[in-house]
This record gives sequence, structure tokens and C-alpha cells, in this order.
Amino acid sequence: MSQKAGIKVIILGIATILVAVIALGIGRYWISPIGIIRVLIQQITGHSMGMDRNAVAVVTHIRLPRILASLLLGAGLALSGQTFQMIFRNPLVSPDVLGTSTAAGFGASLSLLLGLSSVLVSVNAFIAGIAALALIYTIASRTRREQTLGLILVGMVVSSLFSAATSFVKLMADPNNVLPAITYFLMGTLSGTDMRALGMVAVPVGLSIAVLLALSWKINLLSLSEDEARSIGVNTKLIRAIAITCATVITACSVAVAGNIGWVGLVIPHISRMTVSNDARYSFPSTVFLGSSFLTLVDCVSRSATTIEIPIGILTSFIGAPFFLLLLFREVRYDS
Amino acid sequence: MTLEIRGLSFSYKEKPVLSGIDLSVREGEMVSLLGKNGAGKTTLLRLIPGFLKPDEGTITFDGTPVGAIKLRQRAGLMAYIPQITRSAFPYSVRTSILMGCSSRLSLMQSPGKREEAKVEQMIELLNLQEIAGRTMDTISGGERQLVLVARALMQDARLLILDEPTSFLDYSNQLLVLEKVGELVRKGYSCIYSTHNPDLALTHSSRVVAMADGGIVYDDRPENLVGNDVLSRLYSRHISIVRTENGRLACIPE
Repeated sequence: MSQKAGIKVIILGIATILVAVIALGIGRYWISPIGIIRVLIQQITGHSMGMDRNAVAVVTHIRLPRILASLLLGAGLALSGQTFQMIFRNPLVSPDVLGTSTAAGFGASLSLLLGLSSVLVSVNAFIAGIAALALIYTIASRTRREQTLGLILVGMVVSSLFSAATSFVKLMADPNNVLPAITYFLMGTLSGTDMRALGMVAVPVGLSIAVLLALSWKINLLSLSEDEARSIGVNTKLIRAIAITCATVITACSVAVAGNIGWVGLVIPHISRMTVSNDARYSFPSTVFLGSSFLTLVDCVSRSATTIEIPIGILTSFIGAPFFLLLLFREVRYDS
Repeated sequence: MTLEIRGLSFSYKEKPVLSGIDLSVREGEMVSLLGKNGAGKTTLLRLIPGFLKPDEGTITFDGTPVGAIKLRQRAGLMAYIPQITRSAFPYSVRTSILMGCSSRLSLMQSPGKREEAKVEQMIELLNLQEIAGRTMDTISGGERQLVLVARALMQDARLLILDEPTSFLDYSNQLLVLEKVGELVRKGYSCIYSTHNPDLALTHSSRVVAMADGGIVYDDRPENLVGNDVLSRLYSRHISIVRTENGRLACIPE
């Protein structure tokens, strides 16, 4: 099983590279995969591969930052979702379970209301997401409930509060220009992603993904009951705290640069577990690759399907929601 | 290996659950805990590995207070196996057993070839070869309990603490689990388990401990229950303990 799962992970890794190369060519200015490879070699080595300037500019300045962002955020959101699912021992949980993405959305909305720069919009979204997590942890530690249940309950309350606060910000916003900007941002889009935005989140998201992958075996154990995990000798509080922090950093960073992109963190872990393994040593890397590929492909549709770009958050929901229903039906059949 | 419990008391908020418990489990002993629902069996079993902190009293493992033993070291001494649990993510039997080695790994380390080889030894020891390739949601309740026992052995734990290992199991699976644990006890392991089936306690333990009202009302060999009315008092109905023609003990409610 482990060898078979390992091979599947390698195949998914190769598939992700192929998706990225093809995605770089998709758009109104079509470039073949061979052309993309030549552009990339030309950029990396500095040797001319005979590609015209327009193709090089489109690939490196317009599409590359966006596709790198979709690869990174797709991987991050999917892994964040799977981490939360395992921590809360519930396959129906998504990265916004604790309300940190709602809080990040509030941070961004408030910044847009105040007319702050796009950098500050991202920074404030991130700060709001992390601050919400700190608030949730502080309150949950004072409840007398079991830790995971306490976190979920407090998360629901905090999420609801930030959701109301975001609605209030929208109410205050100028309906002619600020309100549409907030609404469009919250729908989720990668359209404004450039190298600067990518650079802001690449390190925290990349590092969080690396830590979660390194902790994958121990995160397996968090999905057991608390007594079982402790009997095995696992410091559940420490591992849970690290995992939740990493998953929240990813979620907050994602909202900071791309708004709310739903369903990736819910659906991709399911596909990963169904096709590869329940063991996080294998399902975590496969989730990373599947999440990257999924978001990159959806983003291709988002920017090429119609003349006006469709926010990616809408498309992930259109694809994710029916898929989730299918999963629910499967589970109902399984239980009966 | 010796587990010593002295003067143990515990209460949930203001409600006393256990008081003045004295109990010991020695190497090669299989101790069964009997008692009605709410008698404090699970609480006592959860106090032993330190999941709960006692209000009063001491629990020592080979003379060292259990609370002073680090979590990771404790995993190598004793293993707590809860009642049947169904995981949201059913792992394979091999992965489930492999989890037992986790206390010996550093924070970001995953098990390697050596640990995987040890899993095969545990599978052989408990005769789990037939189910080794399956996932935990496709095996019977009895087999699942045995996988958890194998995981406990993977920890190198010498004391097995089993909370109602036979509940929700059919009769043949109840016998299967306790017979396998009995084999391990004869090899030098120790076990303390709770059960609602006094018949199983009579036939599958070297000592029976009966609990009522937060205290221990009987702690002796099963043979000494013959002619004793402790089970009648425990379950509030007349129960005779008899020795059958082949020398086995049986419980007959009247």
C-alpha cells in the first residue's frame, strides 16, 4: 500500500508540473507547451531560444505570477482544509472552520473602506486572521470544554462577529466605488496577483506547507480520540497548536492576496483520501499537488472562459458544491 | 512491573466518583473490574495513565509516581485502549499498528523501515495476517480491538489498560479478544480491564475487582467468589457463582 501510494503521489507531482506548463500557455495569446518551455529556459539560462518578446512578456510578467500564486494557494488551501479536518476529526470541515478567513475578509474590507493601499489591504487581512486565531485560542482555553470542541464553538462565535462586522463595513461603504471593490475582493480572485503580492505570501505559505508536511505523521494521530493519542505518547496540544497556526497562516495569506476562495479546502482533501490514502504521510503531498492543479485549472477557466473575468471564488463553488453533494450522498449510502 | 494505587480519590467538579481506592497490578496478572454503570471503572482506568489528576492518593509504576513520568516515556510503560471508537478517517490495519511507535519518534519524524518491520512481528504475534491488508472500517469489532492491542505492544507497553474491551462485540469476538490478551499475560504482560460481563471476569482474569459507590468491595481471586454474595449485592439481584463439572466458574442469575 505504502509503495502504491508513494507512486500515486509522484504521478500527481508530475501532473501538477504539466498543468502548470499548459496553464502558462492558455489565454487570449495562446502559446504551446513547447513554447512555454522555451520561454522558461530562455529566462532561466539567459540563452535566446528564439521566442518573441510578446510571448516572453506575457508568460513571465502576466501569467507566471498568477499561476505561481494559484499553485501555491491551491496547495495551501487544500492542505489547510485537510489539516483542520484531521484536527477536528470531521471530513466536512473547511479552512474557514475557525472563522479566521472571515476575520481576514473583515481586515481587507475595512482597509478598502479606509482607502488604504493594496499592500496594506493584504497586510491588514493577514493581521486580522491571525488576531482572530489568538482571540479564539485565548477564549477557548478559558472554557471548560474539551479543547477541539471549545475551539469550534468559539470559532463559530468569532466568525459570526467578524461576518457581522464585514456587513457593517459594506453598509458604510460608498455604493458607487468602494462597495463593489469590497464585494469583488471577497468573491475571490487572482486577477490582481503580481510578483510583489506573491512575494509577500510565498515565504509564510511555503513555510507553513513545509511544516505541515513534516508533521504529517503526527497529525494522523490527532484524528484519533484524545485518550488514544495521549496513550500513544503524543503531545496533542503542541502538535495541534502548530498545525492550527500553520493552517491559519495559509488561510489568512490566501484571503490577503486573493479574497475568499471556497471549496478547495473541503473537496480536494476528499479526493486525495479517496484516491491515495487516509495516511497523511501520503495524502498530504497528494493534497498539495491536487490543490495546486485544481486551482490552476479553475483559474484558467476564470480568466479565459468569457470576455469578463469570472471571480475564481464563484467558479470553485460552482464546481465544488455539486461535488460535495455527491460526497454527502455517498456517505449517506455508506452509513445506511 | 508493579502498579500500585494507594488512597486514590477523585471527583468530577463537586461530585465524588472514587474514594480511598487501594489496588495493585503485578507482572503476569490479569485484573478484571466489575461494577454497575457509574461505579467509577472508566474513571479509575483513565486515572492510571494520568489522563485525569487524582484529588488525593498516589499511583506509582515500579515505585515512580505516574504523574512524574513524561508522556512519551509513559507510552512505553502502559497503554490505554478505549472502548471501540470509529475514526473519521479509517486507516489501514498496518498504519494503525504503526502508530504505536510514535512516542519514540521526534516531533517531525515519520516511522521508518525498522518500525515497519516491527509491525509485521506484531501482526504475527496476534495472528492478524488475514486482516493486515484491510482498513479499520472493514474488520470486525473483535479484530479492531486486537489491532489496538497490537498497537499497544508496538509501544513496548507492559501494562495494558482496556476499557470495556468486549462491549459491542458478539460472544465469539469477546472470547477471542480476552483469550489473546490472556496469552500475552502468560508471556509476562499485565492487564487491567473493565467489563459488564461477570462470566468473562470469572473465566478470564487472575483477580476480580468489584466496585460500588466509588470504592472497592471485592479484590480477590475469582475462585473465592463461589459462595460469596458480593455480585448479588453489586447488581442488586441474586447471583450464584458455581463451579461446573469441568472445574470452570460460571455465573447464574436467579
